[in-house]
Amino acid sequence: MNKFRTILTGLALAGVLVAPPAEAATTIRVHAGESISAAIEKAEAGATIEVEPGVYHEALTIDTPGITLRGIVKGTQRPVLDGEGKLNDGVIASGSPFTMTGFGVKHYKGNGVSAQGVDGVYLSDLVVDDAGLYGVYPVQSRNITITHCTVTRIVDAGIYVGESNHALVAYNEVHHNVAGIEIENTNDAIVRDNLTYENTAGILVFVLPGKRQKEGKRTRVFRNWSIRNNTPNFGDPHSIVGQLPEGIGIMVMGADDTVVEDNWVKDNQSVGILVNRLAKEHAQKDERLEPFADRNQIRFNYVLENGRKPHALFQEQLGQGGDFAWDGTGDGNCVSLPDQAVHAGAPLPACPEAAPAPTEREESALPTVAPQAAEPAVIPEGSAVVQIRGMRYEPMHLTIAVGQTVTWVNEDGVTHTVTSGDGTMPVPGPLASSFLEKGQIYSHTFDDRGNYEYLCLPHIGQIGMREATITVQ
Amino acid sequence: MHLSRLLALALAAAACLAPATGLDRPFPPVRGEAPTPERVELGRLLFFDPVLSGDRSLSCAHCHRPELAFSDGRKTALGAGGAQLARNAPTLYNAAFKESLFWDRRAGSLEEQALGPLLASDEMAADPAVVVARLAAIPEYARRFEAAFASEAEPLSFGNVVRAIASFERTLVSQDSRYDRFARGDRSALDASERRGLTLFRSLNTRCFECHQLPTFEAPLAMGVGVPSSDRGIGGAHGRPGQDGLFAIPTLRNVAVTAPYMHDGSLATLDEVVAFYRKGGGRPLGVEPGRIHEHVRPFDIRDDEARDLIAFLHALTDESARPETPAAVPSGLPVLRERRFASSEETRP
Ligand code: HEC
Ligand code: HEC
Repeated sequence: MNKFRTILTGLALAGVLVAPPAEAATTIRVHAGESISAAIEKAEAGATIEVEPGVYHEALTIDTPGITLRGIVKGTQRPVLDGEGKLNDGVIASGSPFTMTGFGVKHYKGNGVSAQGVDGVYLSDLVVDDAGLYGVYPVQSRNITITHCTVTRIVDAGIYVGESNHALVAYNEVHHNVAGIEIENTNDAIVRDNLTYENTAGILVFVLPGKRQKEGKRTRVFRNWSIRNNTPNFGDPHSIVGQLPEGIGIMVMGADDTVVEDNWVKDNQSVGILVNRLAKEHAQKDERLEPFADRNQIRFNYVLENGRKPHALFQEQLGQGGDFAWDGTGDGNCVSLPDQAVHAGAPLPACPEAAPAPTEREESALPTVAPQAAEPAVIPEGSAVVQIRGMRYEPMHLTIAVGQTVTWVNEDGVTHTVTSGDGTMPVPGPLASSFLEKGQIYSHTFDDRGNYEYLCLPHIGQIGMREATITVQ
Repeated sequence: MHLSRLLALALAAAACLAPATGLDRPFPPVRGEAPTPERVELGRLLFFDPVLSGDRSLSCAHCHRPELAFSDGRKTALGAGGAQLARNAPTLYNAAFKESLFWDRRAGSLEEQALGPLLASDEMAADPAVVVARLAAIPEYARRFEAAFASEAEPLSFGNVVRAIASFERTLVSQDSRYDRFARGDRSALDASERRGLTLFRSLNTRCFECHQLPTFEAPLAMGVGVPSSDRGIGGAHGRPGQDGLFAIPTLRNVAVTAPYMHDGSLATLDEVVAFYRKGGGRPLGVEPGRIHEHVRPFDIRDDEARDLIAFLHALTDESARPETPAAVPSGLPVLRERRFASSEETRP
């Protein structure tokens, strides 16, 4: 670019974002033992930083636009950011867009990965454990996709999206956090095909005070599993999430026009799906906030066996737990429940047959980054193989010897899992793959005799994708 | 922004050819009517001229001193006759971007704000009719109002006094600190400690960034951090239940120059401020938990990290728009004359 033009462009753009240069993007490789921060420091706008498996005791700050942090995943090996309980945050990113895939992130005091004011946040295949207040935390951002992440033992929300617009949260496995997934003061989010279990609460769609973006509208929550979210709250008792009673599957608080459909919500002790207002004591802090939950549609969901042992708070306010509960505030809400479901709290009309209005932007407009194994997946030597193709496990039933390994290979163009199951329900068990993309594999070694049944979470409805077995003799 | 500043910026950008970072966020537009050079100059003179106060002793600049980034260095301001006011005088830099003014957010524009100190009996105690009469009797003011509000039927009015002062205040922008240069891509603008401090500021451990938001380092929100005081803040000004103890989030631009801190000036240094937040704000001080926002909670950082954070706060200083203090004002009254009060130990101006 000639200098004169640079000056002109500079003049035109001074004070606003300057577009990253158009030169060909570079790739920087970080080998185990080297510093990722040093690579970030050198990286130009648009660069890809590839990181080899290894442990990196670093806190990364990424202000350069267009950076991709790509962890090289070799079988079970991946680069891990480890704060050792001493560093504050795994990653803080401000440059737009920001992409990160293929990392482990653990033991930070503040947070796992946060993106602050970023347009284009693409996070995939991150394994975040015990990383502080939040696992992944895009805030005041837009065009966000969070897919294929596993997030555990987080003190507030495992996956949080706040004050943002247009987000896709899909195929994540989120467990043993206080909140599994929290969509807060955010418009047009899609939360689908996630597995949330054994959190204090599974999926939250909230509107909270003290934020610049006052609304949370049009979130769609569908085809998720929100199961056994009965872990006693271990959050900060001063925070709103830290005060949640345990045993909640899905909760819509203060948000509007949410659609909750086709989710499996089971064994949450207090309430399966809850629709309520933001409590007055919080709402009155922000007079510009509309604290009621309006026009939310709780359409058909598989709500089963929730509310069997409600937290005292529910016992007190609703007299009982249930598969569904509404606090009786807000306008235009509806619910369609299966016949046997227990409806606690105030009654609500059934939802109209007609499909709800689509979100403002179609999901296809949000580019996702598929997690990709840089090296071809290696099937362990001596392993038996189950292929997943054409919406079937092949073979459906396999018999092996004690101590043998089985490897599943996804050959379909869609996402599958290998998840311990009982009929059409996922259950805790030894088989717990993450969400497998085409070409990805999952292996498990069976050390005990028995009959191991499993299913594919996204495709429980398909005959060839449930009640498959491994028999160990 | 001045054209010269714009040019300098463009040249700097061309010189290092560095693309902006993700921190380079556009400022909100300056609110209210666009200033003209005549009104700004008139406003500057009025800002420093004690003629506006009832007893001709007190100007805006007494409490908003240019060399202290328009704060006054006191815990709480000294009003008419040496009366101790209830609150700390904030900086005026970047007030032009704010949605509301005062610690309790009670004014919606700079014009509305200026009426506060002008009319308050314990501050400037101005009588609008008297002020207009005094100014009309001073030929230079009459001429300057005539020029600044030429198209108006009544150029010299109390309303136009306020408009001129507000025009002047709209030129007090601060957006070229070393932090801003770093944000625009000059990596050498911050040293290693300041950069660590910036990262800490954006950490979910400290959560500073969630309230003191980029790029103004304030936000149009009512928040409580738990400074113990009997001041009801926003709850008192607006009579809204549940908002007692909440205050406007102050800007941190030029914060290194504006000690002491908080609405009551109760924290003397930035060290004290950071120590306060580290322990969870007012949580250990017996302040009712409902008055403290959930983002304020004890956090664990090392002492060297606390120093980094403070170093970063120092990098938010930019006083390049500081106006000249006029050697004389049209009234002929002394500019920034030291005020002495029999009743008070404080004799500084
Ligand atoms: C006696 C000292 C004193 C004088 C004189 C004074 N101020 Fe102030 N000013 C203060 C104090 C104290 C506050 C904070 C008061 C509050 O929030 O209730 C303040 C607040 C402000 C603010 C709000 C800034 C913000 O970010 O919220 C502006 C603007 C301001 N003053 C401008 C002026 C102008 C213009 C004049 C002259 C017309 C003036 N002040 C005269 C003490 C003074
Ligand atoms: C929950 C929102 C919130 C958070 C988080 C927060 N602040 Fe503040 N800050 C405020 C408010 C509100 C005030 C004014 C409080 C008062 O006067 O009572 C303030 C005041 C200050 C002041 C005094 C400014 C002045 O001119 O008097 C400084 C300095 C400051 N904060 C720095 C920080 C730092 C550093 C952090 C992170 C450790 C932080 N703040 C976190 C809301 C916040």
